[in-house]
Amino acid sequence: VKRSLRNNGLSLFFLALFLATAFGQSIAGRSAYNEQQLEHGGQTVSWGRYVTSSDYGQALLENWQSEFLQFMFFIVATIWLVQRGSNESKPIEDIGLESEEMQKLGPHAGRNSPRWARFHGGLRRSIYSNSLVLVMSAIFFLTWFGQSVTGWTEYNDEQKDHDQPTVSWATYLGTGSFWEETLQNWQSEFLAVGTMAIFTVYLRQRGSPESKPVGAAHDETGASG
Amino acid sequence: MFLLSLRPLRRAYRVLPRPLVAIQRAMRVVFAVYLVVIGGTLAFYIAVGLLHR
Repeated sequence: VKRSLRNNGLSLFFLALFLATAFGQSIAGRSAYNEQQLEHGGQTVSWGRYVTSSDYGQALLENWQSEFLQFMFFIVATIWLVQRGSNESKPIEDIGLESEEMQKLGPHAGRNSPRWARFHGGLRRSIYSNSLVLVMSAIFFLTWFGQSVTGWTEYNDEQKDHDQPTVSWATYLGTGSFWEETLQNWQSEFLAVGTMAIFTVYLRQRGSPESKPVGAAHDETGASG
Repeated sequence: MFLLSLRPLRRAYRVLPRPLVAIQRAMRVVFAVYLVVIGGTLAFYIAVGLLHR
């Protein structure tokens, strides 16, 4: 067990952080929700009711979608775009999908290579060759859809509170409310990714694979420390 | 289910030493936990939104 925990420490640490912060968000979110309810003469809700509400679902998913969008863009953009000197980039001569040999595909696959990478072409190899971006994209589109339907429910609840007519899902997708909630999350992700790409040219963190070695030259590209 | 199925592990067992099989199994479990957490949460809140809760 101890060895398993050490081998998977990074994933388990962030999973634990996710669960703890999502729980914290539910406590704080319920408190804010109930305050608003009291201000408007409405009924307060229990924690159980709050975490099964569209209010909490929307707050959760609008952040999720932008994170997965960020990864989707970053994975694809780094195939074709480089940043000289960045730890997040590959060298300029490797731009593109790279050779079969570099990617350990088909005849270049090793004994322990994944089975679908050992095929000499075909659909399964294509799927596996793009599986990371396919899964990240699927999660992004599903979370964005989830944000839209929970946001739509919330939007219509507010419309009802103000004696306004409710709207269809398609109409909600054209509202400023939906796009503000979407774009306010996207902009922060893009800034963070761009910052990481250029900051790792000049700044270092000893021991982190997210940084180049402390003594690496500024123009040395993609050399994890 | 593929991730947790024993077939690839049995195959690996023939060529890999026992500790390595256990390490691979633990990694697959963590991967599966992530997929279940993400997929389950997503499915749940999509249903919550569509049911107007």
